[in-house]
Amino acid sequence: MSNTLTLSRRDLLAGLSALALVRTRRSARRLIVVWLDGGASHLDTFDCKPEAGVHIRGDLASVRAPLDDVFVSEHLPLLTARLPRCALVRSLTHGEGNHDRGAHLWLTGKRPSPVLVHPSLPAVVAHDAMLQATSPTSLPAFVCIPDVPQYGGAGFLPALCGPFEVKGDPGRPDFRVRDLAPHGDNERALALLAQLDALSGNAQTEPERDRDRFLRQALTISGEPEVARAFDLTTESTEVRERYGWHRLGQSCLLARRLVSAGTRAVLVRDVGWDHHNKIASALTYGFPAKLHALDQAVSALLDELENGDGNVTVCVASEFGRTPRLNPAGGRDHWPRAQSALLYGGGLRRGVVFGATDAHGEEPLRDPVSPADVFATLVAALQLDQGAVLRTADRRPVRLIDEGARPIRDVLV
Amino acid sequence: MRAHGPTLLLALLPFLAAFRWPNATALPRATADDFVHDVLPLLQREGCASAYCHGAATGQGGFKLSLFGSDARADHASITRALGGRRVDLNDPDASLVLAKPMRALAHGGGKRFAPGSDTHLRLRAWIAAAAPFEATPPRRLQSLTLSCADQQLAVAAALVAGDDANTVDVTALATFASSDAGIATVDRAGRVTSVGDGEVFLFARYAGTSTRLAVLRPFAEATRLAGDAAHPLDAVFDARLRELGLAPAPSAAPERLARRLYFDLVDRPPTPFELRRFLALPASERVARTADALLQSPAFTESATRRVLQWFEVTEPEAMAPERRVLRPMQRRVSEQLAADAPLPTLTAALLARDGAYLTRHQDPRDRAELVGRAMLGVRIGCARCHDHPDDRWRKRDHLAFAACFATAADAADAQAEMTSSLYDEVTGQPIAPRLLPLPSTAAPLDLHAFVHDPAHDLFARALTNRVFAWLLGRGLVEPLDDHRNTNPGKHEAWLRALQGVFHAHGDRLRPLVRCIVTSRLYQLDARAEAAEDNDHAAQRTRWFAQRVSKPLEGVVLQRAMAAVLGVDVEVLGRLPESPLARRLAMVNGDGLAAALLRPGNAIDALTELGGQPDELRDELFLHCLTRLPTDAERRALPPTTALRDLAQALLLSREFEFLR
Repeated sequence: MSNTLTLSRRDLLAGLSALALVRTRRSARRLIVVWLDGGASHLDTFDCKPEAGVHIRGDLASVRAPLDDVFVSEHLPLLTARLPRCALVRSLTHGEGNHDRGAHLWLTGKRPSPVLVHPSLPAVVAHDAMLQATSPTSLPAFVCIPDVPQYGGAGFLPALCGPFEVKGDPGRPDFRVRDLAPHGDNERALALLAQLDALSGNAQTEPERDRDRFLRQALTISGEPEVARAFDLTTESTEVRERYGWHRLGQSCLLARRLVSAGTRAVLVRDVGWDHHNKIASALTYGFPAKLHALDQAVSALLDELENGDGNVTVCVASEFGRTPRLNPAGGRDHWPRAQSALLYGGGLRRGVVFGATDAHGEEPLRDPVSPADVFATLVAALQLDQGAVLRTADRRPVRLIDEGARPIRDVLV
Repeated sequence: MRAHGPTLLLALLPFLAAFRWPNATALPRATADDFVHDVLPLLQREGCASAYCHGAATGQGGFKLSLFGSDARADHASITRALGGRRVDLNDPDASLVLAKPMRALAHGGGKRFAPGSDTHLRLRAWIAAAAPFEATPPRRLQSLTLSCADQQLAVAAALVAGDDANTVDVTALATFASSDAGIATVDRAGRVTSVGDGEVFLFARYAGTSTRLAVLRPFAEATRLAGDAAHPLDAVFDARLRELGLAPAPSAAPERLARRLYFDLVDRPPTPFELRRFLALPASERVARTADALLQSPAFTESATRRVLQWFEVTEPEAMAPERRVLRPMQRRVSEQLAADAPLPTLTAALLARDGAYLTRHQDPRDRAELVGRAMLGVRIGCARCHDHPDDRWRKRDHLAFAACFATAADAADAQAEMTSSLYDEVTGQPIAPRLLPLPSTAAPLDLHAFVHDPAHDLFARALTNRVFAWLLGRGLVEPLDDHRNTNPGKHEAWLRALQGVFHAHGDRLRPLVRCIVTSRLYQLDARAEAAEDNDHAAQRTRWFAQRVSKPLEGVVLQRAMAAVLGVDVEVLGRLPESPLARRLAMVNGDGLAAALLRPGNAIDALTELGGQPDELRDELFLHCLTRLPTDAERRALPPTTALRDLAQALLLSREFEFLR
């Protein structure tokens, strides 16, 4: 009757975790997702195959990382040195080879559904923040730098859980977040607005109430010194800004770090341009900024600064899928969801773990295959969110936060 | 409570109407010799095959059933043969795990599902004792399902055909029940109905993969007539239905509000004070019709309609997708030209539905193309059936695949990269799936998508489209979500939908006459919810049934165009309002765009100032410009005439009243 035993043990475990949840306070952990939009090649970043033929390993060289068996692109020297602080997952595999579907799976932890858009993990974190009685800050709970990728938003959760998009290019010297401060003198107009709204009675419908909430939030943020400071990169020293790199990804990561330090619960940094179907070697290493160099600088600087923080920030560097192990005739790599890597760091996660490995050509996991939904579950656990949480859609349908079949990767959790 | 109207059974299979049994309780009880018809429904009813139990993709505790019982053969094998056949013990039925576990004689993760001696228990036991057959001999087939209600008790009759024998059986004890609105009536497992509130509710019964519904109405206690025009093609239908529901329609909205609604809905902006005066100067009975006629001919209406049609048909590009834009732009231009000429909509969709045209082939996977046509043109979500048969919908996995096969083109087959077409092979036999249109009443040839989409036999295109136009003008569809038309998601007022389809067809399937017909109806002109909300629940009910209108939020693009129009500046001066709601409010409060528009030389504020006049006259005129009304006494007291016009204009444009159409 082994079957019976399994079930009753599971019952017991479920009961225990329910008890544990009652005692846990709501989490204060914060999340930074660095989203490499387009599908970063695992073979040219964290899962290089120097032994394989040139049609597999590509034109870029790799070096052995200070961890067993890990070969990292030689264009990521700073990150290579920091791997002993991170958890590297190399045995990711899934079946979604389209950008939108892969993004949905990664960002929401669910396979895309034709009838329901699920909330992204940062939106879930913002939802958790919203449920907390008091917020220590007037900053938005969820910020996208510079903008939100498809399926990075609130999904079926209330609009208030959605991201604030800073827009623009943080890498430009004249970058500033639009519309945070009053343009000229609008105090009289705003005073009139308050009078007009009050005279027209209370909000009658949910959309009207939402409008009032967002307007209130906008007015709270406007001109608030704490908020202005958090969004203002110019208060950073030149030395720090240089360490992150004078490019979009670098300054975006710096802004992300400033925001989470000031109390924002979740930041998604979106770096576009990783869809390298042509000449992948030069696309990754030439130009300004060179893709790999920018990634190396930006994320390394971010990890260094977080290393001195309170340890409550969790970072995930990921993209929709890996890329084909065999170079195509155009010298590029196409979409390859059957194998990819993700880099995790920070609160709730172990240091110096390398989880899983792919075969000699990086085609499929050799051991411990996991899916993006498992990484989602892992991050939920690392962020100390309620793993058994059931969210409700607008029509009150229950949806599990962690998809059925997804499990946290215990080996990378503290 | 009374059953009302013809019992609606699988509306698309009209022959079912023949099977109405006046006295269902006298029917013979179901037997126990058939897995599909006697056992599987029980497992559904007890929730065994739900997604969170054994219906999960990986099963539960090693026991897997297909989700919602969609694969009867696999389920039969899973019960009778898997686990070394221990789930059923033919010699000693009581030792069967399928009995012991759910009755909690043995540990069961899902808890106790039924009690010893219960009907479910006895039926399952009888089936096992009969050697757990998959089907009876000769095999039986469910021909129709009928739901009736007497004394608050539902009864389900199934017409089962075995060989030449037709047999009608009472399957009430095997059916699963649901109510479309638990706030009006609830139904328990045994099919007992409890009336909770006023209104119309649909009760559903599901049995052996088929579902049927019954409309039950408990009228509200109000009753006044809609003072509409008897000659108007919609008013009579609107009125009859509201009377049937016992709802008193709200009084007509004030003419200023009507003018504002009409201008915003048709040309994305409020009327100017001049246009308002012209509107008010018309005889009351002709105001809306004559103004609508003029607006419908304006280029601004074409622009507004084009935007909506492109949205409905998903001819929109996600931001920053340059390659898609290149493909979509010409299509968008063509749609706009055709709408300007008021071409019939089937003409417009003809180009889109070419099987090798860019509209469809921009999606690589034929399944995506099929789902797009389902959503955009037919208002049905066949996408659910990509993964599993849906218990509440009529599409099966095989329907989905066969329909998708209609979209595979020769180019796909030639394209070695298009791995996706490999999905169009039968999982078991490996044979290519033969293209077949969705199982709807239609005489279209298998690959003639255009004829199929517009086939009047099912008329889903007109149904989905008129519902969308209704939602555009009334703020909410009769069927919601707009792309989810199915038997188990009936419209609030089915008769209205039919009337709208009639109007649409009567005018050659064109958009303008339909819009004109709706805006000239009394329903469109009802007042929005009163400020001094009566009993809130009741007000919400009246809104739900369209006896009263409710404020409608303006989309970002309409808001931006309206602000530019009010200020008399180009839309570009204002800049695009961000989509994300917080960023939008920040842009409205602090943005350069609005500030620049307010300061722009020669804008509406300048024009007003130059016109001259007393400060309070100017203030009143500005109210007319922005809100299409004069200030109230309270507002006059609160806003001294010395208030700077620019500040007031900004406040009015940011006000809640401006952002919501009442």
